[in-house]
Amino acid sequence: MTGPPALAANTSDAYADVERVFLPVGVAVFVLVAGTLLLLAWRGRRRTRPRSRASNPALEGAYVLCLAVIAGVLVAVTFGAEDRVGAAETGPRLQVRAVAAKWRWRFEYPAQRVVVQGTEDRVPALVVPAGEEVEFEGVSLDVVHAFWIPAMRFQRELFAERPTRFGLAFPEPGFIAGARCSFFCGLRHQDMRFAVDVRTPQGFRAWVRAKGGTP
Amino acid sequence: MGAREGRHALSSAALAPGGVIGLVGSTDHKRIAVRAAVTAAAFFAAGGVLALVMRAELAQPGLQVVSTGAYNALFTMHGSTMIYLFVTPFALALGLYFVPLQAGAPQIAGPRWALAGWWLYLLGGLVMYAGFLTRGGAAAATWAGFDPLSDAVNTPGQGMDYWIFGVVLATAGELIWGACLLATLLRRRAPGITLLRLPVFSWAMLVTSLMVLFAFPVLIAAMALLWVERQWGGVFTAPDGPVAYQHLFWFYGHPVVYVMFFPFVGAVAEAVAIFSGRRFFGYHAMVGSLLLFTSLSMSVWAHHMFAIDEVAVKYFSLTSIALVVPAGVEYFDMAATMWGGVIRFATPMLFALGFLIQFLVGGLTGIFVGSSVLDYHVNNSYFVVAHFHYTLFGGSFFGLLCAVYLWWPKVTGTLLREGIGRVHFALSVLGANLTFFPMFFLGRDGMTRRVADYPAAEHWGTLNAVASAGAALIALSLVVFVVNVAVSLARPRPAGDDPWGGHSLEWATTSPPPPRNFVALPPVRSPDPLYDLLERQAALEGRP
Repeated sequence: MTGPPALAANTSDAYADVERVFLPVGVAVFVLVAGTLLLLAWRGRRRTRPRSRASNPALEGAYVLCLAVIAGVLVAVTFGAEDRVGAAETGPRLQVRAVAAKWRWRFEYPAQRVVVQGTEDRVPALVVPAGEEVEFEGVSLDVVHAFWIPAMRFQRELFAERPTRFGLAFPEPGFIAGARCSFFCGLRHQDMRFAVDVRTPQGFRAWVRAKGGTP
Repeated sequence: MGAREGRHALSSAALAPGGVIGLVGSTDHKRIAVRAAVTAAAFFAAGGVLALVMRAELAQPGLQVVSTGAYNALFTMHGSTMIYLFVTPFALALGLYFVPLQAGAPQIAGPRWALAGWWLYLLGGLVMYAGFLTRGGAAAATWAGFDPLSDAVNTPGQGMDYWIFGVVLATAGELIWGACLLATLLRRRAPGITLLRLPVFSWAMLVTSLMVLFAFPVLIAAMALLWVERQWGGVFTAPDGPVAYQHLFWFYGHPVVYVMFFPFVGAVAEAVAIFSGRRFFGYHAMVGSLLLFTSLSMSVWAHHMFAIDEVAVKYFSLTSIALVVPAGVEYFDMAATMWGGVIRFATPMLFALGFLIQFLVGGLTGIFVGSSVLDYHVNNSYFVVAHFHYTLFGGSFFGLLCAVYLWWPKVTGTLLREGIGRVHFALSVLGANLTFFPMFFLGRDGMTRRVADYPAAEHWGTLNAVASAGAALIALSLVVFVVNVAVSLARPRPAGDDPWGGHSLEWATTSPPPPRNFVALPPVRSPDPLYDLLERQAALEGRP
């Protein structure tokens, strides 16, 4: 792993760090186990007398220890990344309320007095500045929804009257498509999408001014 | 061998009523089990048709086949059917048939209860499906019935109420079966059969019954609360109410995955030992791992809820990843059984190998989603759909077919055709992997589950078309299986008592067994009494 991250809430880096360990381990275990099973089955075709030994406690004990070590590594990797995901830093930063309702998104910027309202047929864009942590408060107005930005490798469920708080940092300016509600919420669940428009800090302030807010 | 003499002496008409009364009212555990399995197969056919309609809809972007509302009912009823009405009852039905036989018992404990269990289960399934006849259509709030989506405001209409009644009735029936199986295993074993002389399949059913008894009442309670919520409100209305519902649901929802898994692990273990021509390797380690699995199964439920703020994420990541240990032991024992075995590639063995290798994909991706940081991305996506279909279809369903091919001769007295079985196996493997492997990529790329449509701009059309083609192959494989059954029943080839060289007591009686199962039992000194007899015979004849 690559030392302490520049941004506490860079969730896609945290995901990549964990996947970088889990994926090769998983593929290696699959190849090893599936290969062993097929090899043993294939070689057993021509045998005429079965072996009689039916247990080997010492070997199994050693094997269980190996498994425990592998599990321990995977747990340690997960815990290390877990501490970096959604960890909120203290200090003044942009606050955004993500409001989900059947079947649309609304993004409110209370300090800037700006609101972005989506509808079922118009996908709204969440506008955020790049390179700084954004503090979200997510709520639902009805059923359970979930705020998922696949490119950020991050989702959180949103409930009515039970705010969900999380921090995210978007490293670079750019347009992120494909963000959506991931928790099934009824008839038009599939249409409940949003985009993320990551701007430079200056670009973000210009956008707030253009929307009639106070940057 | 005493067990094989005069075996028909006890089969009397009084114990085996015929006609309609016998069909719906016999308390012979074998007839209850066959009835349950046939009922489950019928529900499987219905749930499979729902899945095929879904795959037809998803084959290309846009809405072509059904409306969004209809699609929501399709996936809700598909999941509900497969879990409440097919895999769970079929898994328990295997126990209803073979646990008394392997325990050397003439009958299951509480036969009338077991019969009532079948009635409740059948009724529950019919009530759930009756939802299609109501004005609003069948339930459409997922197989989990998440509150508040499932409340009276967001899901009005009787279909949802029918679903709740259906789930309660079916689950109550399955709960009764769990109790009957546990009582049989603890109190009805023949003299000499200690707990540690039970075959691996019976041990798998023992831990399955434990999980049924711990987890299923919680689902019934959750459904009762949900129904009260729909009628009068006030149950899940506090801010934490929806989270509380999820806790209740997943406290059932995770153990049930193992209820739908362990009976088939047990069947596969029997098949691997039989078709390797040797005893199951590491019996005690296997029993220990089953018990460890059982205890962990009750402490991993909230890994379904990682995306909720304030769940004890690290604890549930730890318990979930710890499952590597008992799962690894089971694979080790299976491999070690084949190591040095005389392998025969009969159809049950083919499905056992398919189960082991495909479940490995499901299990390893299970560790993947058990890691909270990875789950924040792939939760609720097609990655999860791929993962649990590898466990439940690539795993459990292949294990189920292994069990069917293994025990069909015992239950019917006739052999299935090997050649058709091989074709069935090949098509199943091809279909399962074509259908479910592309879903890993779709999910990681951002496709959510439970959607009837996806934007053409996402370029998910090709992978979805491949998945739909795979689903058609699965359907074809099942047609081949039906042909196999039809041919084998129309032109029966007698199986004899023990066509495979079995190790456990069910192979010591006739096929099918008489109403009281056994005339006499061979001595039981190990989990493999028939293998002991073979060895002793070989020793007497001076063979090595």
